[in-house]
Amino acid sequence: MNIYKLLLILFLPVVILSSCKKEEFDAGSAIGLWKQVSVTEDGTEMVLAPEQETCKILIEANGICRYYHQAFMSYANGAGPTTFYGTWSMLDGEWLNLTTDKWQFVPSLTSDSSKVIVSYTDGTIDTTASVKKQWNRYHIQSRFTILQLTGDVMEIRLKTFVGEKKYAFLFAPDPEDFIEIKTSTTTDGSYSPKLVTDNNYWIIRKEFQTLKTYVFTFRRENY
Amino acid sequence: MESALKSRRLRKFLFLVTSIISLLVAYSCNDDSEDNESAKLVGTWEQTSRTVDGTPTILDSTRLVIQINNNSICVLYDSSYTAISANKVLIRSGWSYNSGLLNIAVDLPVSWTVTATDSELGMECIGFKQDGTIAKTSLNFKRIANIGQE
Repeated sequence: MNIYKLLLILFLPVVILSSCKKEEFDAGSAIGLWKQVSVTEDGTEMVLAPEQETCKILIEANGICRYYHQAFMSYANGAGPTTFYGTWSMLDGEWLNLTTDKWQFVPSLTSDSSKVIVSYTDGTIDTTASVKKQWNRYHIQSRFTILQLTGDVMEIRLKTFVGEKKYAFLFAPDPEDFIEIKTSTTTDGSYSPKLVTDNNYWIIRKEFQTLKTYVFTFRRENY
Repeated sequence: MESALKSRRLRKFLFLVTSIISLLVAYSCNDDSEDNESAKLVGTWEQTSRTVDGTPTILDSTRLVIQINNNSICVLYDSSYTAISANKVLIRSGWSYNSGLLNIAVDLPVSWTVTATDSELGMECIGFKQDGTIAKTSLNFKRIANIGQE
């Protein structure tokens, strides 16, 4: 018998069996309700605002996840949004993919003096009109390395830019970094990252150029 | 001559073993229980009760009747004031059943854990309340004659 045919016959079942092999972390273990208990930045525990400490993630079997935090709860006269959503998946039993809203920093500068361009109404800065031109919202996937996933604890790590973390729902933003979008007629709880001015432009720009490693720890909650 | 015969027998034997193993593996990887559950959902269902966190409450008027068709389309009969005012009492939506959850497109990101028998359908969903605790809403339905919406 041809040696290659023999090898093919012997290894075919091995190949098929390996397609069903168990992954390192089981995707089913991620399903459930998780409360964020700590966030570290380059190994240092971050001080979270009370609104961020309420952060929870509800991960469901159909690939959808829902996020809860109170960063914008005071908006719309106390009826601001608290629930946000995205999708999740696990890759190779090692990575957890989560999609969240993020904002891209796109302010313009004047060509002559490099001042931040803002909109004015009646001689004062029109914050709503300005931030709409300074930030673009999009929904994108972040890939976390799973450090720990047990019945009680989920610990995931992400290396990203400081600005990508701050101006994103990873997983609850600091209320100080966002503002409520108000117009003369509506206060519907809409939100945006804060107004970019000459005072904070370079600070924020540097945040989008500084890489740090974040570790998020969650504890399972029963419901 | 004899070694050639042995070789042919060995080859036949190995092919037979390989085929059996492949079939066993293929079947062990295939789960048709979801198809059975999905088939049970098809039909027309009338809402009979609703509970929120275990407390009986008024029926959900956005879906007093649900017709689930086997073409992945469902029709919700919306009797809410808003729907009647807008003359939009029939809401068509896509639906799917996977990983034990019923996904109705108009409800997403909320999905439903379902229990279905021949005559009854139970749907339960969870969601965050404003304070971050979890609210559980359960809807119960009984099977009724098909209304025939497509």
